[in-house]
Parts: sequence; structure tokens; C-alpha cells
Amino acid sequence: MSESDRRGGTKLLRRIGDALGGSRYSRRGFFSRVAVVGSALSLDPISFATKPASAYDAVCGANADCGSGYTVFCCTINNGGNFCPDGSFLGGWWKADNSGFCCGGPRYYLDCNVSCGTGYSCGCETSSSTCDNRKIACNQFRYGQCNLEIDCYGPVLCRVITCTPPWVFDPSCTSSSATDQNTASHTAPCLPGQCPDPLTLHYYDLGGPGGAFGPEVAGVQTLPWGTWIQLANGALFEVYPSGFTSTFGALYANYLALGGPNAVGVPFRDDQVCVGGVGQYNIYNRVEGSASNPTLSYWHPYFGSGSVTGATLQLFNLQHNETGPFGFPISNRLHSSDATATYTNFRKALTGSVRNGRIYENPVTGTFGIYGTIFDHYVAQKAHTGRLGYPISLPTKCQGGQGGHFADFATIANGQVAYESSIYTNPTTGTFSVIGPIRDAWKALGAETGALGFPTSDQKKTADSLAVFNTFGTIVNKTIASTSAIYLRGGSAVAIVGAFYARWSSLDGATGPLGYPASDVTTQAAGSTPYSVQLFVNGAIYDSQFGSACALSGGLYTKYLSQGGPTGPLGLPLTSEVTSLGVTSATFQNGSLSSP
Amino acid sequence: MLIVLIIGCVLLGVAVVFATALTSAYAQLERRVEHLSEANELSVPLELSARPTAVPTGVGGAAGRPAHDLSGLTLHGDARTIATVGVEHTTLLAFLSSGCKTCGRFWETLRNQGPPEIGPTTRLVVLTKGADAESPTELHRVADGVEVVMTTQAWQDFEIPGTPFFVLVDGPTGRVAGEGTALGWDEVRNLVALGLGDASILTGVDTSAMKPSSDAERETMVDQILMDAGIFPGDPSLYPLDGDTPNPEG
Amino acid sequence: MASTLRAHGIRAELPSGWEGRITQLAPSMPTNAALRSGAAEIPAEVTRPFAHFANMALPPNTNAFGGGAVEHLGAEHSLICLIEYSEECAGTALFNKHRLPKKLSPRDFNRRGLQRIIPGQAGSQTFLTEAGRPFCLYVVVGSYRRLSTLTRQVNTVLRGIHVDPVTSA
Repeated sequence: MSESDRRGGTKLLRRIGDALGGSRYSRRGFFSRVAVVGSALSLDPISFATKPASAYDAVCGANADCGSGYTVFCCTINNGGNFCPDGSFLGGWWKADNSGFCCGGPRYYLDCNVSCGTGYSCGCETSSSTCDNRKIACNQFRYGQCNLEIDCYGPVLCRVITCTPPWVFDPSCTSSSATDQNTASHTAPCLPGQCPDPLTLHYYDLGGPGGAFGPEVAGVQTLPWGTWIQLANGALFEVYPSGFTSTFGALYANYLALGGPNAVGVPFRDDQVCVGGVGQYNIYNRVEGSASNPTLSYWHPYFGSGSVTGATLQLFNLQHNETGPFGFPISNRLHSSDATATYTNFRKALTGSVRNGRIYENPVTGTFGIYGTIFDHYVAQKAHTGRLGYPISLPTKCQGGQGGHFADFATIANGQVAYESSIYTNPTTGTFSVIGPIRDAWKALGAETGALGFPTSDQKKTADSLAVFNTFGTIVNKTIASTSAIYLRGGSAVAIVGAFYARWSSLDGATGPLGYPASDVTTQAAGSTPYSVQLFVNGAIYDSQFGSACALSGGLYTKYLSQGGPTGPLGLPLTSEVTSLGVTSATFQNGSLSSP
Repeated sequence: MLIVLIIGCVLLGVAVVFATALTSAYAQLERRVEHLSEANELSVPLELSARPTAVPTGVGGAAGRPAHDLSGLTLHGDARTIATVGVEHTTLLAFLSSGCKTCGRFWETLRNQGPPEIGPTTRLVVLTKGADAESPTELHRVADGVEVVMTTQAWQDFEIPGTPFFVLVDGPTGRVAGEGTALGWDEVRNLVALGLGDASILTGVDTSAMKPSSDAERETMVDQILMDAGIFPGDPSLYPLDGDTPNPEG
Repeated sequence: MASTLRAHGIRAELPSGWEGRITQLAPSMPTNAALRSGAAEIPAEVTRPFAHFANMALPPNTNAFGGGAVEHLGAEHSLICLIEYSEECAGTALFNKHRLPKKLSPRDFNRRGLQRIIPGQAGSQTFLTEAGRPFCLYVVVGSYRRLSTLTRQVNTVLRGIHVDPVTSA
């Protein structure tokens, strides 16, 4: 040790001694401090432990009290609704990155600013039922990325939360970013917790329990095609690969009535508005885009809900869906009372009225539907339980240029078609059905383009119930020109047409002296003179150049025939018989005849 | 009378014990100083070649050369200025580099534990040279999560001889209150304590409420004297060697 | 002036005792949750530079609107935030009314005009367009009672802030 060092050390000691001198010296002082400091320097680095918070505090995160300076969450003050309350608008947003609430991604906070002219007072949420006691409508501040067309704004009313980028969540928001990690733990009991499933996040994006879909009825459930969640007013789905879809309100109610996902599958998009803006629809299926048994469900504000599926849906599609003649389905698939067929009812709005319709699916008769006056008449005839059976055609335009439509029907017996019928409708002649053999006879005579024209009555029974008949009429210049009939008696259908019908009707028809028709009109010749004759049970009507529709009946007719009839000496009748004073007589080409 | 005698003997005995203890303490201190003088070895950072070993200087920090505000870029490319002049607080400038081995100790603490405790009125600013003289890639590695300002100009403004180097700036006066090198953050804290004349930075313990005021004052004075002599808390020379009288504290 | 700060077309000549930072963050990527919304593609967020100027030590990682720094404002401190927005915001009703103010009045401040209401503080917010670029100027003073003094200090800084038009790369 050098002399200078020794002197330095001595000097040091003296200074220390001077400092330590005094009756109140505590020798322990310096050494204890040395020990303390020495140990302090060897301490582990200070780590700031998070103060353990109560479970209650953890639900709302940091700065949840009124004095913290932050704003309440909208769901806290909006009946659970994670959206801007009335009188406010989205004014801007910020994010906290790496958020556990969003499974490690950014969590977005959207401020709802009070609209100018709307009355909200600054305060704090004071309810004891929530720990989110932050400020309401106090912070006169705006982030400024949303609704840039609104330049006047009040304070922040509340905050909306989403994991969806704001510019996707709401198109009025730009993607101009702002970050505030200080708010990363802020939350509320009315918001989802750590890393909820994507469907739950989507649910809260749509407003959560306070939104239009309402509170949960059943939690997230797994399906073969994704997941779904049942809510009070609708259902949300996540289906692959479409993403999030939904069905809501009356459509949702009908979806459940149809049996839900296990019965009809899931929607692969949200409910859609119908063409024309009235009504909504959605398509449920088990596989996206598959043609295998989708269900097309509708709701109309006046007609209610209904759906179409299967072959009915295919026909409905071909008829241009709700814009076509059937309109909206107003029922789900119904079963006939004998369970052999199914049917769906429809309704279409017309100007000042509605038009009803129905489509049937029958394994024997196929899938056909009818609507309008034809359907109305069909229903009046007891529809598929009546004599008409099931439709076997769509309403079709009549031929002949006189307008009108018709549809054909068929009854089923022993799994096969028994007989066919038709309903014809024409503005001049009306709407009537023609059934079975009468229809067949009418069709054989050319139907609406033949001599009989359009049906002018349904099938009726005669007064003595021995026959049934339809009347028909031809149309000229939109008026009925001539009337005819077909009678069905004893299995035979006979038509009485034109002048023959007129004469026969004038003689009281079937109850008159001629009785029921016994044959169709035939054309014959007396020598070189052609004539037409229709036989009746008790007589005949002759029509020739000598006499138009001359009726002969009873004894006079028998006498005429005994003398050879038209080919006999009397020739063809010139007049119908006339009865006077108990004597019936008629005039012929070559004389007259009386009876008795 | 007998009682008075007994009391007197007791007092004498206490005084003897006291004096013996005091003498022993002085003797111990003398031995410590002697050992210290004999040792007289200070390890020198290899990178510090332009200047002799720097001993922390300056007490009170009011008489140094003028300081400068800082202007540079952060590791993320942010433009940054730091005010050291005309501010209320003291600023500790830590001049580090990515390549110096001794700096590694400082980087590691900053990365893993954050800024060291240097008192509530002192602000730590970590500086490196700019991208013209530093490797941003290497800096990202050693300074991950550390706020760094890259500025070659600061090296020139403060005449930095090498790294690691520390400069303490007194904000109100805008002058350098202390500067020097160090092997670890402990020594840096000593620098700050000296520069501010506040030994509480080192202990983090406010003893003013624990001890009689005169006792505390004496301790502060003794601390200062020892530190002026380069003896800092934890210095081995303060503790008993083999064969010495056991530490009075037992 | 004690220092000059310059980046991204923003230049600030700061008086003694003031310091600043001009930052532009990297955009966050959309998360799987967002991508599962079914959208074919989600455009990324847009980040733009923001600047902070204060007469106190600016903490690292201060958020654009001062979060992380405003909590440390003393009665003699002020924080100026100049936040740029994406181009689509320029020309809109919100941004079209003002240019970058060079002078604020104490009347421009409001004790509730704050992103986070801290007792004693006051804030002033202005949406503006400068050099064709949309910004928000957000100023927080540490003491409402010292508004006159602090506003004068803020205005000294505002006079030294200049914005250049964005030039295409």
C-alpha cells in the first residue's frame, strides 16, 4: 500500500468517524443499511403482479366505474341490444389488437354519438344489476370514421362491440384505423365472453339478446351442415361454405312448423324480399345448391306463410314462382283425406281481388295445379273429394277463338284413372264442369269448337232422376247463339243440338211427348232428298228442306212409321205435330196424318 | 450511596462496551479501506478505449456542460424527438449498441425486466446510432420490446467515447449532471444517485420515518462519503474477511 | 426552436421543452372470425400516420388519441395529437369544414371534450383537411384552470406544424 493510499484511507476513516461521532450514534445504522442495500441489490427484479380481482370485476374489466372516464356499452342501457339506440348514430371506431374476446384478433369498439337535436343527459349507469357503470352521453368526442356525411354530433352515448371489421359491419364506416389497447379488457355482462364461437359473435353483431332476433332459446347446436342457434324471433346458422345465414319472424315460425333443420335442412342465405317488394322467402336444403328436395318457404303480409317442395316446387318454378299465376303458397304440404295425394294452396293478389289456387301431387294423376275461377268452381264441386277427382292438366286456353280456359280432371279407382272431367270457363258462357261420359260425348263432338260450344251448366239430374245432362251454347259476337244439351241415361250419352234441341225443349224436353233422346242425329235420304232425324223415346224430330225440326211423337209417330215414314207415301213432314181437340195431326209432303 | 455506586458501575460498563465496539468498528473500517487501497482494481470495458476509466462524477448536477435535445428514429421507423433541455425532470441517456458485449447485459435486463428503477424524477432514454452505423436487424433482436431512439447525431452532441455510456442531464438547467460507463444497471443507478444526490434511489427505502432524523442524516452523510470513495453498498470490503472479528451484526 | 420532427409529410418545429413522435402502425389482418362471415374478401384496414407533441415525456406505445399519455398529464402539460385518416374521408361533410388551426382559443376546449374524461383535464377536437389530407386535431390540456396559459403554449406548437400534400410514389 502506498503512503498516499494510506493517507487517503486514514482521511476516509476520519471523515467516517466524524460522521459517526455523537452520543446518539447507532452503530447498527450503517451496517444495517449496507446489509439491507446489499440484499436489495441482490433482489430479483421487481415484477408487477396483477391484483387479483373479484369475479364480478372481471366481467366488466378495468375502468368500469363512473369515474374512470370511459363510456358504457350499448347493451347495458339498450335492453341488451348491441346496437346504437334511437337518437344516436355510429360516429367512429377503434380497436384493441390481440383480444381474447375475439380469439386473438382485433376487437372493435364502435361509438354511438348522440344525434344533434336529440335529448340525452350526461350521467352514469347506476344499476346494481351490472358492473358496467361507465358514462352515458358525456364524452363530447368522436372517432370520425363512420357516417362522414353527418358533421354535427353530440357526446358518445354508448359503445357497440364486434369482432367484425367495422367497414364490413356497417358500410358507412371507413377502414381508417385507430387503436387503443387501454380498452382491451373493457366489457360487460351483456356481451359475450372470451373467444365465443363465430355464430355467437355473429349473433351479437346483429344486436344480441336486445336485437331483433331476441334472446337465446337454445344454445349453439351442431348440424351436418354447420351450426345453428335458436332465438326468440329467428334462427342463425353458420353453414359451409356460405357462411352466416338466417331466417326470421314468420318465416322462422313456419320453418319450425316444417320441422326445422332435421326435416327441411338449413337456409343457405338470409331471408329474401320477393320480387315487387311484397313478401319474403327463403330456401331450406340439406346441401347447398342441391336439387334434392329443397323447400321454398314464403311469407306474405296478408296471406301468411306457406311452402312448396318436391314436384310441387318444380311445377311452381316452371310457373315463375310467386310472380306466376299461382302466386304465394299459403299452406305447407297437406295430405288428402285418403292419403293418396298431397296438395298445397296458393293465393295471388290481383287488382281489387285475390285469386286462389292449388297444386296436387298424385302418384296416379301426376302433379298439376289449377287456380282462379276454375279452382273456385272445383272447390264448389267438393274438389278432389267430389266427382271431378284430381287435376290432370294446368289451366289451358280454349281453342276456337272465343276465349276461355279449361282444365281436365280424373277420378281414380283401383289405382287407375276411372274417368275424366273438365271445367271450362268463358266470360260469355260462365264456368261449368263436364263430367265423365257426357264430357266424352262432348269431346267427341268437337268440344268447345264443335256444334255444342261451351258448357252452360254443370251436370244436372232430370226431374225424374232417370238421367243427367249438361247444356251447352255456341258463342257468336260474345253472345250465346245456340243452345244444346247432352243427356246421359242408362250409360249412354246423347247430344241434342241446335234446332233439334230448340224444338225438343219447346215441347217440354224430356217431360214432353218426345221423352228422352234415344239417338244422336243421323243423316239419311228419302229418295234423293236428304234429311236429318233424331230419335227419342216416344218419337223423332225430322229436319229437311221441307220442314225444319219437325217433331212427331206418340201415336201419330207410330202411324207415320207404319206407313213407311219418310220413304213412305207421305214423305217428309212439313210441320211438327199439332194437337187440337184431342186429335194430333201433322202435314207431310204428300198429305197429312192424324191420330187417333 | 451504594445504589449510586452500582448505577455508576453499570454506566461505566456500558461506556466501555460502547467504546470497544466503536473502536472495533473503526478498526474494521480501516482494514476495509486498506484492503480497498491494496486492491485498487477497476475492470475497464474493453470498448472504452479513448478515455481512462470514468468514475461517476458530479454531485447535484448543476455545473456540467450543456446538453442537447435528441432527434432520431425508433426501431419501427417513427420519427422521434426527446426533450432533455427545459424540462422538469432528469434524463438518463443510455448510449448502447448492438455489438458490444457489455451492452448485452443492459439489453437483456431491458428486454426481460423493463427499465430499471432509477427514481421517480429520472427518465431513461435508450439511444443507439442511426442506421448508417448500426444494424437494424441486430437491434431488433437485442432490443425487442425496448423503446430505442436511433440517432448518430446524439453521439456527436454528447461526445460519446464508446458503449455502454451513460449521461445524466438535468432538465431545468439543461446541463450534464453526470456521465460515465458501467458494467451493469447497479452501477448506473449509482451514477444517478450521485448525480442527484439522492441515495434513496439505490435502496428504494425511505428511512426518514423510520429513524431519528439525526441518525438518518448521519447515515446519509456516511453513505455519501463512502460512495465518493468508490465504496458502494454490497461492496465486499464492507464485510468481515476470514479471521477478522465477526461482523457486529452477527 | 429546440427540435424539428419530420415524417410522412408532417413537419413540426417544436419549442424548447416539447418533444414529439410521428408514427404509422402496420395494419392488422382480418381474423378467421371475420373471414367466416362468408365474405369472399375483406379489405384490410388502412393505417395512416399520427403525430404526438407534448411538453412532457411521451410514454412509448401512446395510442393515436393519447391513451397511455393523458393519464400522465400534469397541470402544466399539454398533449397535441394530429391523426391522419384515409383518403376516402377527404371531402366529406365531417372533414370539409376546417383547415389545420394555427391558433386555438380557450373557448375551443371542453372539460368533456375528451376521449377519456379525466378530472381536471380539457380537450379540443377538430376534424379538418390540410393539403388535401384529412386529419383530426385533438388537444388535451392537463389543467382546465390553467387553460389560458396552456392554450398559448399549444398555439406556439401549432404555428410550427406544417403538412405537405401526399405525393404519389
